Amino acid sequence: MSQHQELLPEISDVGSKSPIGEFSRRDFVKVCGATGVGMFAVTMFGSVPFVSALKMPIMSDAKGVLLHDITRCVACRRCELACTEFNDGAASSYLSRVKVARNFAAVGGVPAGMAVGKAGDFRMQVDTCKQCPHPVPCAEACPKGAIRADVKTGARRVDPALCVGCGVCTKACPWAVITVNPETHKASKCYLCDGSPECARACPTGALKYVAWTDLRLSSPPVQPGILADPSTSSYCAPCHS
Amino acid sequence: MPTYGGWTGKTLRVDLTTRTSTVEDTLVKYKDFWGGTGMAYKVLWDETTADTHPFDPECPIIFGWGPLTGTGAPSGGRTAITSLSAQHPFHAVTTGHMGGHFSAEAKFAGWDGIIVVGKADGPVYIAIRDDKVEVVDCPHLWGNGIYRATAEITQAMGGSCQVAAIGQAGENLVAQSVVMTNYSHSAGGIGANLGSKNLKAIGVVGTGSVKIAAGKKAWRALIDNSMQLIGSNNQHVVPNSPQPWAEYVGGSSVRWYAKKGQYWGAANPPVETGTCDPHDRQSVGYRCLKSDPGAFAEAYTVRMDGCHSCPIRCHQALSVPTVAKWGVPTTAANTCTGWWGRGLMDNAKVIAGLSKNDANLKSLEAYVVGKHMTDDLGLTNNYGTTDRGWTFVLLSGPAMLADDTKKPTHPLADATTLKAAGKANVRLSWLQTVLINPAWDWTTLTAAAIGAEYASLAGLTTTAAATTLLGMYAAGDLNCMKEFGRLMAYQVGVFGTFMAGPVEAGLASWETKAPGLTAAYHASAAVQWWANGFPKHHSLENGGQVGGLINTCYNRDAQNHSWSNFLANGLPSNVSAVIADAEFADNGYMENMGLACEFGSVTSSVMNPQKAVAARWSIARKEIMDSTGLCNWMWPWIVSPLKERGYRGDISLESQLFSAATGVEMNTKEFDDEGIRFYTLERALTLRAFKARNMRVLHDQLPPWGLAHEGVATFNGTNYYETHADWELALDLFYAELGFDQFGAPTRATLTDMGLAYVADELALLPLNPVS
Amino acid sequence: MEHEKDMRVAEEIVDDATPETPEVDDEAAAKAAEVEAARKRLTIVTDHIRRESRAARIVAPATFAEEPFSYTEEQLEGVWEAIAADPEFADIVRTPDEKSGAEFLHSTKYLVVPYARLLLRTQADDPVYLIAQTVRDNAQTYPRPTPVTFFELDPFNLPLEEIFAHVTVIGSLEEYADIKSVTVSNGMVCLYSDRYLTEPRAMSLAQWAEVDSHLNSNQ
Repeated sequence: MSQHQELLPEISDVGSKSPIGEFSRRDFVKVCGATGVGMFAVTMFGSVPFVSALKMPIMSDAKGVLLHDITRCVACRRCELACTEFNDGAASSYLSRVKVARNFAAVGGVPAGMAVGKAGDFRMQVDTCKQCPHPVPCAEACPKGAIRADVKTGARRVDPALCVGCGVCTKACPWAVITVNPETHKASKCYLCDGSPECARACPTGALKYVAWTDLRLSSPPVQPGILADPSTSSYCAPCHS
Repeated sequence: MPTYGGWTGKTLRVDLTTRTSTVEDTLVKYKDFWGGTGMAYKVLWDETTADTHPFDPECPIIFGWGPLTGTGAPSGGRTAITSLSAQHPFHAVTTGHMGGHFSAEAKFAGWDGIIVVGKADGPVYIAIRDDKVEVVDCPHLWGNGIYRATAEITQAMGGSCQVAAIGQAGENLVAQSVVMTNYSHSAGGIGANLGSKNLKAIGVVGTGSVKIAAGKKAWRALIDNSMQLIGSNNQHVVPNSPQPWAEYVGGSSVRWYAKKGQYWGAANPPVETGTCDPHDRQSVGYRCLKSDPGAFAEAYTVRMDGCHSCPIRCHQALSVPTVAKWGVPTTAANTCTGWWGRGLMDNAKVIAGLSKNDANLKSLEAYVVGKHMTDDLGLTNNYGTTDRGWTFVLLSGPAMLADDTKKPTHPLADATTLKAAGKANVRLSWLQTVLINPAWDWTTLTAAAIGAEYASLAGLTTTAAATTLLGMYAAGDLNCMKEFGRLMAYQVGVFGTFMAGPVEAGLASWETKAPGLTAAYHASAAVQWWANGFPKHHSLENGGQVGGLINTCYNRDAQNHSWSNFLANGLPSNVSAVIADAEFADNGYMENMGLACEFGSVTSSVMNPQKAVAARWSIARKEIMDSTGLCNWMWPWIVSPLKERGYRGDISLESQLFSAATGVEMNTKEFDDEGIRFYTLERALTLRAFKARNMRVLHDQLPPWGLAHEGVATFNGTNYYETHADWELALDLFYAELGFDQFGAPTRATLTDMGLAYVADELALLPLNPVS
Repeated sequence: MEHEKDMRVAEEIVDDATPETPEVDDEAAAKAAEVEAARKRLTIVTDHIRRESRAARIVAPATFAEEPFSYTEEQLEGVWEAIAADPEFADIVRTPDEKSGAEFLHSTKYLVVPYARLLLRTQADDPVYLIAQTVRDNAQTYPRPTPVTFFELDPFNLPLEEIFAHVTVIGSLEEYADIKSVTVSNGMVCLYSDRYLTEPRAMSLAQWAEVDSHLNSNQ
């Protein structure tokens, strides 16, 4: 039997009956409470120049998160394959919601026994989505409010119906774990596969585990300076991204 | 849903002379040849002649994989690099195989294969970023090793870049050179082909995807099924130590190593491999802690490594801090014969006085220094030939010729007899060859002189002695390894040229000084020469006639594990035989395939029809693997570790994966027939290279050591020797299975059935035997 | 995996299960309580056997007569009957020691019969028999000789010097006259039974397993 931690049981519904993208009623009320000051117009419909209102909901923490153990990873990349084949019907490392390929040679690109990676000390750095607590950088950056808390798991999930593929989220995420699919022109990120992540299931060493949510942001070095840009406040961005 | 999945639909052709690239439609031009070797044989047939030299600009180099590469089909990350061979006396077609992640990245970039023709006017690498292809000048990389080339190209192209590169050996047109990727995966014998084109490397980055024709649910179910049936390395399915869940225990040769108390000792903190119940999906990657230097090296193991999509991980990733004193990286990964320097220190007797720990560490350092030497310079040891052959030639060859009575009567008598006669230990590693001082004219040396020289230098500490290859070796100075590599990669002196060049050419030049040496070399079971300068690779000792037939098929060492894996899987022999009966019969093959099985290292029965079927099947599967991207060191899976299935695997799995990924429905027998079709084209290329049709005599005979000597009983389970009559029968039955004529040439009828009538036209013009 | 949900610390379960004496005259209620207690005993016993099996240990039936279980003979009879009757417990089996006949319990979900036999041989503390019989089994089953180092592994864990000492004893005993040895080219000593293997066959199998098979990858 498994020597390793089991996957969590399926996460129960966190709130609304609607499919992905609906935040909980509790959060809605919280926000409405704040409008007493008149700072935010909470509306879901109509063209509103003040687009921050669409994504203002303070998301509750996700129920779970993917944890990667660098000492167990054998760089087989079956996680990438499972993520994309079983979600998208096509295999891709670039689109994988768990990022392995880009760290392959060595983080930092310089080998010689100092860095991680195959050219370094062999440890394989894998970047996973932290399911950030509020404020969620990718959700904050999205001009369409397309990134919401998933009903089942609380995972921060892209609603393809709302996403316009602008890619601002890819620049906002400090770990660059959200990607725009060049074929569908939609952003795609880890949504924890409805509570049974395919990558963890596929991992032959248990290096990837699905665990109760914990804040992994400070223990995982970011790979890029995330831009917490609100397109609505930037005159440069607004014309294209509103 | 795409019309076809698996394939990307595009094959890249790069002409280095004009520095242009064109896109070929895979599904128009190569769909009938799938990819990998199938496609390569077609390209070579169309674009070369009998007189094409491997280094001619028009000689193509075909980097191939297949529709299953870059998908979740387990163990699908292989690359087959095919061209005309600089190692082979007639420059016949050979393939070098490398793993890693290169082919997967190329698939993600949108390519089913890369064909390189022409010759650049200066050192270049090919940079592929999805559909953007550039030929990039790189004079700064020429003269540098594979490590630097890989590092610089990766820096230029990004961290996910995969690089296939040659080292100085390939640049210098050394026949015994490689193409290497990802720091530990090398394709043997093909480096000089790139060197001849001034092609230093190919770097590839892919952001695309490989489409799967089947629906997500169906594909997932198939992948799940595969991951349940997978065993350990070489599809060995029984742990080699008692485990609570396991009905059976494998012997010492079984490669399911995991157990409680066994660790990747250099992980921080160490990672236990553990019990590994086969139902535990999250423990598959721990089954194979393959520690070639010995169990003590587990303490130096950071983790295991390997190819894209393979959960087994047969490369050992070591951290050996003390090698820093030799000026090499302290981390090193590789497997099997990729570890040069095995036994080096044992044979130098340097470790004789050391404690066990110190001796082990010294031995381990030799592994690591050797691997770095060869993987950076880009050398191959020709599956151990460099190790064994020159030891024989230089130390025991001349003396053996003098004593004709020293013929082995038992496979083990070789070592014993020679030892008793005061000859060198025939299990000497190649390291004995470093007893040579490059200043000597060693073609006139005798074994006695070499021995005397060694004896006089052993223990000496003078600077002069220490700087010779011999002196360094005797002192346990691993710089001898680097010096050896230098001599070979730069073909320095008579010694360097010999070691670096084709084996048969070397023997021929030596023959003038020591007549009869070539024959003695070919006949020695210690050297394990098979044909044309290449060694055996799982031959008679791995399945009797089946192993022998497999070894005849190609123009280099066989690189075929279809049958040898099954024979060593760890199950009781009778259980394996029953499974073979059932699995083959249920898939439409001959009945009683258990009769094809020879277990252990002996032959117990004469040739029979089942053995011919097994040999054909093994060849078919190897070609299928090399044309789909699957790994023939893992696949096919006759057996599985699951007791509830009676340990049965599923030999139709590859065809199921192929059908699901591509949308091209094919059952397992049809699948095999395609593999044989590819092999038949390879055979035709071989005939063309030999300029003759009589493969039976010219290509398919056993080496002398494989034949039984006078008075030795055969086929009674005490040895693996063949008789002339049985071997000719074996060829008869095998040729019949393949649709070849009595000379081992594909018949016109066979070729026409395969849609290769044009091949028959050319073969018909060849004489039976070469025109002298 | 679902078995783990049922697994709890034995002591806790036992404490939980200590039935209170019913203060009612209602026979039906008393009977129901006894049925419940029996069910709990069944769960405790099977959980314990499965948990021990997962840890690669077999269980003597007498274990349940002692602390912390302290079940009576009658109570245990009830448990064995329930196990035999319910397919859910088809994995719970008894394997006898080959010499004493004493039976031990284990769950074949985690610990199969052949491994139980090896454990029994080990705990019988008769290493001469352990080595000789295991060598015979291997020569018959696979067939293959057994390197002496095999008995250093779990679950045997015999030091090499002791193994050699036992092998010497084996060589002197008539009942083990079929146990022979071959020494291969790297010095490994491999044992076999000539009931099932001839010397040349044993030698070539041993040479292959201990030396030549590794040369394909290692030289």
